Amino acid sequence: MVATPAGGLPDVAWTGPLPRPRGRLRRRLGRHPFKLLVLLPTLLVAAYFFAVAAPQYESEARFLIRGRQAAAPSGLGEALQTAGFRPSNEDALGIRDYLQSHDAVAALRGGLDLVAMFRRPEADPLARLWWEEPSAERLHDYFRRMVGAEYDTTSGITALRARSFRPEDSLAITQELLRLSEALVNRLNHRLQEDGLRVARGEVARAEARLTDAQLAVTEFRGRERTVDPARSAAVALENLGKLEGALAQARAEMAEAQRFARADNPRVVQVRNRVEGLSTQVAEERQRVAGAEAGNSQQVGEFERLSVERELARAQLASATASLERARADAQRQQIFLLRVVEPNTAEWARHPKSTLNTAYVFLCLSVAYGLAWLLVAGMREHAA
Amino acid sequence: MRAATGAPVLPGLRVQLRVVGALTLRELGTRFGRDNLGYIWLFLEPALLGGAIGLVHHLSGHALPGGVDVGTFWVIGYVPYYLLRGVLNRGPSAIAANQSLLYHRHVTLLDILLARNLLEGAATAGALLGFALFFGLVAGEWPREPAKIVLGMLLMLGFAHGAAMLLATGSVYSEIFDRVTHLFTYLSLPITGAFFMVFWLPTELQRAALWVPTVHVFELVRDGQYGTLVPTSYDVPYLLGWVAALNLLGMAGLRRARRDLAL
Repeated sequence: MVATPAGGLPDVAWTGPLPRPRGRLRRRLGRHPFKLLVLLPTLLVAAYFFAVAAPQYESEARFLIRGRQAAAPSGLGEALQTAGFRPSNEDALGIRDYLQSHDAVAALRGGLDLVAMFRRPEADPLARLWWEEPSAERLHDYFRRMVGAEYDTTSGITALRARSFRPEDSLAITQELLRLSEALVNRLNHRLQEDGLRVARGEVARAEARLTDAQLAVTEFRGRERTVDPARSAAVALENLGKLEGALAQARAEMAEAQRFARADNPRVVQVRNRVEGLSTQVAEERQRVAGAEAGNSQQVGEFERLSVERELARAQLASATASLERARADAQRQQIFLLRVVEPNTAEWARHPKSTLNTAYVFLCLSVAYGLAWLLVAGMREHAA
Repeated sequence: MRAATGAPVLPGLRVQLRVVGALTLRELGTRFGRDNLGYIWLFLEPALLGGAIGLVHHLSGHALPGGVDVGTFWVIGYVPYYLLRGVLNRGPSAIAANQSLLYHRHVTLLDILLARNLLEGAATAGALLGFALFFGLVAGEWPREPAKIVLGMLLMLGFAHGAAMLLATGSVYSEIFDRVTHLFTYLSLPITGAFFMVFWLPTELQRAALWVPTVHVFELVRDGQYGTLVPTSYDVPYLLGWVAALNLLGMAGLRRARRDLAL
């Protein structure tokens, strides 16, 4: 139907004998410029759309990306909010970008034979994928033309639309893309949770190690110094000495009292003297021992104090680290995002694309305006030559 | 007009270019004269205005949403707006001011408007180039994609030229265009998009703002200046549609006006 263009009215005999092809074209162009430059291309476009173009079926799905809690606005976010800008859901925008990315194409190719779908035998040569073994970039470009994801900032719904030459193919692509998005959401959640918890977990592990070390040091100290509590044992030793000294004083008093009334060899005196002597030796010994231990003991006490303080601190740190791990776990739970399917993908019954009438009208309009502009410009130039 | 159909195109184009060039030179002379700074004023005028606005806002210290650099934002908004306003405001007076030239056979209304608007475009282009160099050298704020700024300015010139041709056409039939154009350009300043960015607006307003063709120009220019630092939204085909339609109507209007113009 394209073979006889509307502009090809004048025949060879009329234009003269053996005109040069270029001259003929020019003459025709000069005689019917509008028909040749506007109507003919429009006719060609219409012929393609109405006679050649293969129907393309569209499958559509809609989903929502929901978080349990919106993230606290950053400095920039706040600044934007003051200007009346409603911050859009970054997660939803991320999913939308993913759906149109080379990553999604590569993942799709893992599950579906994307190239075969875009090169079905019923596809027309212009609209189908032109290469049998397309490079990743070419396939990505083509994919972006056939598959679109739009995020509506007012409703927060992302609409996913896929076109192909068979309804089943479109459905398969949409379903697979939805599945991939869900997998991505899960992956994101996992990452979020891991990131939030990793720091808290490390903190708990460090506190635990510190507490174990402190406890170990105390035990070791006790084993080495053969004392449970050096401060206490020093006190006990002093108390002993005091008691002994008291007993000695009492014995001395008794001896003085006995010596006043009895002879020196009186058995009671002898007994008392013996006691005094025994006590004196013991006191001297004890005093020597305490004095000798004094230097080492004060050091011991200091060391022990340090170790017990360290143990207390480690205990407190572990308690707070455990609490913050709990909090982080709760936060991570709250930050989770979900993909909620609002509209399940459908199987098209009627080919919505290509929009033949609209496209033809659009081409006609654009060409007409361009023609009008060119005509006015050329006419203006000719005026100057006249 | 059909009478000119047979005339050759290329020689005509050559003559037309010469005519436009001569008219541009004449316009330069009548507007700036030869005394004191002369033609330098051509670039100095938009540069001074844009620089003053940028400086005032830079000194006032108000931060802009999205962390946009204050000085460049106002200058980059003001210079294209200066082009739009300059071309539109001169549109209605173009024919009256140059009417005597129409006695020359080779001078057409389109030539007069082309000469004026190209001059205006050159002036703002020079000022913009100066600002780009200034901000690049002083603040290190080089345009990310200069080609987009150039495209934006060309589209703005095309848009303003088309609208100015319509205004000039109108001025042939009624004086009212000359009277209200200044008022209109002044009042339309807030909605042209010169001093706001689309992403600052709530979604509903964004949609409304993107109907205004000049908003696309400013967004395009800002995309060229800031790159991906700020989100921009524009539609070049939509803008091209406006430019084509306005120029078509404007040129057609001028042809009609030439016939009705009483010399």
